[in-house]
Amino acid sequence: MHFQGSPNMAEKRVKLISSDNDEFEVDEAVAFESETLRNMIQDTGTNVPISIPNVSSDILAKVLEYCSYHAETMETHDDKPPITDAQIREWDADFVDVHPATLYSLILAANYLNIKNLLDLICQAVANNIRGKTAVEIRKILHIQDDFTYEEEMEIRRETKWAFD
Amino acid sequence: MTEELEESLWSRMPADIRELVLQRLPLEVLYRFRAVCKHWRALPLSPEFCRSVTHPQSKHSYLLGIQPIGLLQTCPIYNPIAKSLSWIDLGFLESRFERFTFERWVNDDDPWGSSEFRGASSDGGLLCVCVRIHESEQDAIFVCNPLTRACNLLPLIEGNTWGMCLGLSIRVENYGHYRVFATKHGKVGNKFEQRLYTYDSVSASWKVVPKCTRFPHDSISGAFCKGIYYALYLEGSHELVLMSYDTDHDAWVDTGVVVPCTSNSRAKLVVSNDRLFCVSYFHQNEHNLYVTISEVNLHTTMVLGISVSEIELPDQSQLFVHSNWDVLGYRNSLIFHTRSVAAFVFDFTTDLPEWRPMNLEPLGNSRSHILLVALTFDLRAAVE
Repeated sequence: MHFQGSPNMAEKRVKLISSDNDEFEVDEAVAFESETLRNMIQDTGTNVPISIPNVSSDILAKVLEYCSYHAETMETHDDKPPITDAQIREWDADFVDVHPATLYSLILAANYLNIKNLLDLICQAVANNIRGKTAVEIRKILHIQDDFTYEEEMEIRRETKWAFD
Repeated sequence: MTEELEESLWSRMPADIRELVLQRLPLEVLYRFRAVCKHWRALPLSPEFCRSVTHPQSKHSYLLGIQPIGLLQTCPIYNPIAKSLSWIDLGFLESRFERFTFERWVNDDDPWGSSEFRGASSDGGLLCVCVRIHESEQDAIFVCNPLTRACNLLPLIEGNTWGMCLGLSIRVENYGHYRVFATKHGKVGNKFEQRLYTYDSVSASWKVVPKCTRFPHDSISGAFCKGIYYALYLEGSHELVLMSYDTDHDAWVDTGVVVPCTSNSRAKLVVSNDRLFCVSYFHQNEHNLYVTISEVNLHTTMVLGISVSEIELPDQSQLFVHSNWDVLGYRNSLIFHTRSVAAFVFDFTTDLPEWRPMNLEPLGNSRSHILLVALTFDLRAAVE
């Protein structure tokens, strides 16, 4: 499988191998969106394919879609108007509008590959999803044990109304 | 993201990533989630966690009621707009009191009520309070962040027994740097006089602010507005002159602002949303107050009369006839309140601003013991 990134042919290409052994080829600039890949490429060069053992091909494709879009927003073209911040935000919002399972895998991938902006984006999406929930609901969703003593429980009961939205 | 989070999936989320998510929640929500578990409860107390929180400032502004010592664990926090009430634990202040015992005034007619707290001021997430030390007749002034519970006892002002605190004003210059102005009242020989002291957290010391040479008498009120400390002086019997203090040159500067006043009124400088107001009032009789609000335009030095109005006091508020009143700036409004339940709000954002009764009963049926201060919360506000 070949992933078409930026069409700039002067760029070096990088080969990436997903956990299920699919091969991706992208511009170096796209791979450089990831701190982890940047470090690897600087260590080993672009001749050797880089395997990413804990990211599956569907998630890696999604991650590279993000990286290539954002690498592209950094470039300037004479023939095209620059991409506005509003357009980027809209693109980002669409990007995270996916099934929670995908989002979960993306968050782990973004964390492993150290793509700060992507990690920020997804964490914010998750934060938006849970912000309306009560502490009891959060415990249930995240399987967190209620470990408070009776005194603390009483204290919390007094304080809980402090915060509202 | 339209679908609900899947329990099984998210429960496996590594703890460090969970914290990345938590750091992106609004401060109010982060505090609601402190009720989840011990670890989450302690998170806002961790400086490392706080540094990365994306919304370290509370979206809302609150009224905090400072309880007398012994009840500090349950200080009411009220949002008058949402009419929501809860409590915040300021008990950590008491642990800093061990060196002292404090004087408690029990006279209900006393403007400070029966509390050890003499003054409070807040800015940029910091709370500054003043308590009277029993044995030495000194004031202990604390600066704290109610959220992180970081607390700094400022050095005692001069090593003598001089004066009691009349006014307190704190200003956060930037995170970690703040200034406090404290007005103290004391006896020199046979005469009572005021002294104004200023504290700078960078030098960590107090110094006496030189007297304003233009006036032989003391200022009536002082407040910070946009980083500058202003004080109001009575000139003759019908004029209030606004002076500003130049910290760099230790000198008072005439702002050129004169606020007319009536001879029998009391006046106070109040700041609301970076606007400077002079609020003065006098009693017509037991049941009526005349309140005048003037806004000072600091660019043109013009004084704009906002309102002259009569407030009809509820019957149970005879306490009004004493000096038990205060005006707070709260968002785009002024809150005029007494130590009893009576309170009025003047909202500048309404079409026809006028004093309207405000219900502060959620703060307690008799508020004669609590000191009220308006504040926003900010995790970044550091005390040292």
